[in-house]
Amino acid sequence: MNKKRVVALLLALGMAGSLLAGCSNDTQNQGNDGGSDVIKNDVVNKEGLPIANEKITITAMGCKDPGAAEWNDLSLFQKAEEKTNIHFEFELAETNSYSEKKNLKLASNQYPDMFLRSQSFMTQTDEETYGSQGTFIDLTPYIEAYAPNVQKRFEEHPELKAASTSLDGKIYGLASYMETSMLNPHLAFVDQAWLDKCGITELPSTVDEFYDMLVKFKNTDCDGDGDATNQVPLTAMATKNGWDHLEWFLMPAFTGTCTGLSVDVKDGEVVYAPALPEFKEYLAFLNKLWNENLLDHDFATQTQQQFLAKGKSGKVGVANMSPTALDEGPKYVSLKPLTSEWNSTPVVRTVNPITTGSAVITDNCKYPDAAMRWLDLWYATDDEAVEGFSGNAIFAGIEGETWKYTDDSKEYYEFIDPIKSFDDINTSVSVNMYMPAFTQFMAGPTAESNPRMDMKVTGVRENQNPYRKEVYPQARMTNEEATKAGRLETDLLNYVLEMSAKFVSGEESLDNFDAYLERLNAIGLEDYLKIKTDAYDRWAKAAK
Amino acid sequence: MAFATTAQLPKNSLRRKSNLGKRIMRNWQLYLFILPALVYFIVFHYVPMYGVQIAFKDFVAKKGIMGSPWVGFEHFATFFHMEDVNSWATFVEALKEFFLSTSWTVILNTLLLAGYTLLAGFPIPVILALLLNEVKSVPYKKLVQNVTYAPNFISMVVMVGMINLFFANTGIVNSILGLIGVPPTNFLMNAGAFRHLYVWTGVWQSTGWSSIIYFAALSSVDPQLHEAATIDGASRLQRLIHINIPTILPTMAIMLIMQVGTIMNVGFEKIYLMQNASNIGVSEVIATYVYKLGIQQAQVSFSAAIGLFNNVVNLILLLIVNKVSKKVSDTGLW
Amino acid sequence: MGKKDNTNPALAEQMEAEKLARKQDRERRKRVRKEEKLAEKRQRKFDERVGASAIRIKETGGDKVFNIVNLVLLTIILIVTLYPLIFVISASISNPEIVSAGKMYGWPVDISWDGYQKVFSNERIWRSYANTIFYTVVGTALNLVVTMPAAYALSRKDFVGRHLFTTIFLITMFFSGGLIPTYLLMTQTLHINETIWVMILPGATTMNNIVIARTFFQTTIPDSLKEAAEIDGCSNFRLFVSIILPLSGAIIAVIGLFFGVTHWNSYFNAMIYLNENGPLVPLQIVLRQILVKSEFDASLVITGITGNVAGGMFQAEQVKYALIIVASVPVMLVYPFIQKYFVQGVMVGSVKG
Repeated sequence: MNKKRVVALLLALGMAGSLLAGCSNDTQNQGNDGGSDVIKNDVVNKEGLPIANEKITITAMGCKDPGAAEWNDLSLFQKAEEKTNIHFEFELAETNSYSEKKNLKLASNQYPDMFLRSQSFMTQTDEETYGSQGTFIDLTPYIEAYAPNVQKRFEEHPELKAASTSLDGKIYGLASYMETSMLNPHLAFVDQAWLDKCGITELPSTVDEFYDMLVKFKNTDCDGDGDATNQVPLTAMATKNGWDHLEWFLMPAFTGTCTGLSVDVKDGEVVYAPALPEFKEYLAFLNKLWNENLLDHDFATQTQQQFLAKGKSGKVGVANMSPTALDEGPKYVSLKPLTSEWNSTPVVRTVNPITTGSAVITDNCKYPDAAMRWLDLWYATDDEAVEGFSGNAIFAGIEGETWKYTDDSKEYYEFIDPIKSFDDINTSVSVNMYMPAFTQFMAGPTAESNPRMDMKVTGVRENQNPYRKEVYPQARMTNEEATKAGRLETDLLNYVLEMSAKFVSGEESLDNFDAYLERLNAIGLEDYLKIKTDAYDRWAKAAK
Repeated sequence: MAFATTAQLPKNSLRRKSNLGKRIMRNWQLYLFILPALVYFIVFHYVPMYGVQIAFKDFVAKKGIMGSPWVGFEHFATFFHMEDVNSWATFVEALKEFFLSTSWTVILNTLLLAGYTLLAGFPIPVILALLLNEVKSVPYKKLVQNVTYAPNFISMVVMVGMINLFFANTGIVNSILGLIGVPPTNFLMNAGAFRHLYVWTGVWQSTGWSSIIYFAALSSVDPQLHEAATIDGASRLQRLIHINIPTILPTMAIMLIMQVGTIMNVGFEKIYLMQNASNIGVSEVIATYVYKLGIQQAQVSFSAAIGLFNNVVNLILLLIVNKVSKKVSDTGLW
Repeated sequence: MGKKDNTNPALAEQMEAEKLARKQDRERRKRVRKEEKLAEKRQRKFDERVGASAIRIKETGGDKVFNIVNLVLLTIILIVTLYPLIFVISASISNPEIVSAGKMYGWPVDISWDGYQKVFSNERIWRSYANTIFYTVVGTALNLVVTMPAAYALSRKDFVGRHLFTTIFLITMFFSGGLIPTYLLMTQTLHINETIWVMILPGATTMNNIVIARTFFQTTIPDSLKEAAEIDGCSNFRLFVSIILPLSGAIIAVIGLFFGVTHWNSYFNAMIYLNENGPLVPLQIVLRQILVKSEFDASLVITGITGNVAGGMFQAEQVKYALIIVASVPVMLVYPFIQKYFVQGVMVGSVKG
């Protein structure tokens, strides 16, 4: 009786709700299904500044850093508005709420003219979804007509164009490109004083030499506290994706792949690294380090703060901790990538400088031509800059106004008073990173101005950059593929994480590695690799 | 006005014509009592409820919720690995696949974690309230109440941060265990410890807060009963069992029913923050799994379907417990 | 019990009846008050007997054991609960680097107030504090106005349709349209985004609290009270306001506390529907911003993009602990005021009179 009533009520009310909704939610079909007609406004000039003859307004939603300034308060954007006659009405959300707000606006059809700097929150799936629905307009004709700088960058960097292009051949989101000397990733650092105390004159180049070094660290009073047993030879920090530090530094020595617990390209073939036979050897090595207490037993669980506090305590030998995060004083040297009997080529991962979906223009925008011309400003190199507007201006402000190169070699830069650091850039000049822009800022700070940053930049330049290897690219998948791959990826990774933790700590014997592989296959490894391989092949074709 | 009506009522009721209309009319003011709540639920819950259909559709933002195409139970089928079922044999095959799949793991993990949470988290606040009620010193009573109530306000981020600090290899718990000669245990990397850690830190955090409702219920115990029982020579324990517990029993029953009705909604934030490679096998629950799929691909429909499944399980459990409670203690929602 | 009602029900004497009813009501209220006082006195007497004299005369050996075990148990609970709390307080004023390294055990080490300084240096914090207090007070008042009458109506066995209403309300616990239609409702139909109403109306009541209050009414308000009132010619409204509510201090306090804390802690609606840099944001949003900002600053320090190393990448940790204190001390201070409603036995006395 009661249950029946519940059901009947549910239906009745559900239907009433639907009727109500039917009225309020009438979708107006815009007609043109993302058609490639270019909108040309009379007020918009085809080239030169100003972009618009009279002031026009564009609404844009953007993601700003926590506590960062409103974009209209930044001097670079103020100057741009003055020179272009385009006024932006920004609706900014901070990193912790942007994703929800952006998704809600799109899902409920209440969106602005543009989305800017969405970082990872504008996924390729979003581009495919809202592009095919006509919410995001195809930028291809606008790039052709209004964006000479973007065109040049696409020619010089076909991978940038490939990453921006959707599977249907259209470009819905303009990718940003950022490469700087300061943000290049590092693998591992060690205190020179520790090496000296242990009599190590040459940095290890094989895993066996690395192991010997850890043993020496363990048994020498390297930290100088009179106790030769309390050093932590190797520590690391865990993330949701595994133990990135070990996977970037030690795992490539065995597998030759450098994307961690993920897919990579090895000898021209797409492989899933945790299913490679060499992965077993990597786990065996970690298990040995674990058993001999060379590897910190907190490595898989400690938080970043615990990890850094440990590093600063001076009791840690090897850790992937940037000198910029450590105390001044010791000289830290960067380790080199290692080799092993299973892999003789030292490799270091190349971080992808491309962030897709950094700028999209929606079908609400009345001035897509002007918007595209505005975006194009930031894809200029230093030489092509008009009024100083360029990709590097986004990063550090206009050259000659806020910063300059120390000499013609362009290896070092310094700030111009009153700007002292990137703090000042962020608060008063520019958004700094992840804007839709092409940034290639390879100069480093001078050693006097920032000695630890110099330590890091030099270490990376000398010991890592020579071994860089291309990794699996941001190859696009169809939404169906992405859905399936996403589910499989989560399932596979969960199992890999669970089992590798057990293998390393010895809770599970490595004799069971075959059973582990079988289980991966049962979860659907083959299907997953097929999707990833197809996507890679398509990408390789597009990037030619 | 109001009094005019009520003044006539006794006469009407004397006639004992208790047909429906009269029974409604007699208490017409009670409908006014319930009106604000009814309006609230209709406006803020029933009006948007047409969104339930998202779970059965392939949601396309441009077309809106109403205009998106129907796909029936496809999303549910995907979750249960039943997409390709068309005969008995394929069903059995799919069932096998399902029980090996992550979907089953997360359902099982959710049930186990939720069941454990309920088992520990339900009786302990009751016991705390009963024990505290026996304390004669009012300041001490208030002190304990105030202190146990406080942890409720510690945010999850800090809570999990503290768990990480306290239970690390070199943390204070291992230090204390070391004093009594127990070798250090790696609580955080031990999958077997995860559920205990999750549940008992939860008990620590919520017991005081949850017992508030029982303090209030205990305040309605008739003191004359205690008086009489004391004179009859009943001990404190006897009085607790025969007077206090029966008094709060209906409250306990209702709290239990409501908790069972939300049992599948285990604490997402805490679990997500506590997850690490070692415990992922036991810590991946429906909520975290859907979240991970959700942030990679904004699968509005798929996550709506799983959310719906989650709540239907909740509802079924609530109906069952309600029925049992009705039978056993004569307390229920209806 | 109440005197027999001898009012003439004729319509012509409506006014007369009303006056009389009012008078009776006044009298009854006076009576209730008197009874309450009597009950309190009885309670005190009882307490003395059970508390003091009963120990002397009645307390058996078993009772003593019970008392000791009880006290020991509660003291253990007290210590176990207290230690982590002291830890939080100490961590909020200790050097965060030492805390992260696990070298602070409960007593503050290397005291620094930077965490609090960081929290209170945000100029928006006071404004948001005021906003939160406003949302909590107004919101909780509305919650009680909506919840208590509804719960009382549902508690009445002679209320035709209570099963139906219970079902209608209960369904909302399990089926919801999700975020998208709700977003459309708030922004396109009701247009309450960017207003204070979005912080108050969408949580006007919850089925959970209605059920809790209803159970309380059912178990503690005897039917005889309602019958007596009915014979007195007392309307439901009057019965509720002048008899039921005064007897329900404990449940009003509890439900008010439940709602109040929810308002105090709520941030999701603010995050979605308010401009997070606008004047309407509640405390929780500003606190989250401070936390995220300090974490972001720390990450910049770690990558070395900013030079501000001395500022400390551990500060985010200290800020977390300080935020807890800043955010929860006001709520904790309210609790002692609520405790006084948990006094035993007030109500039953008044009924028996």
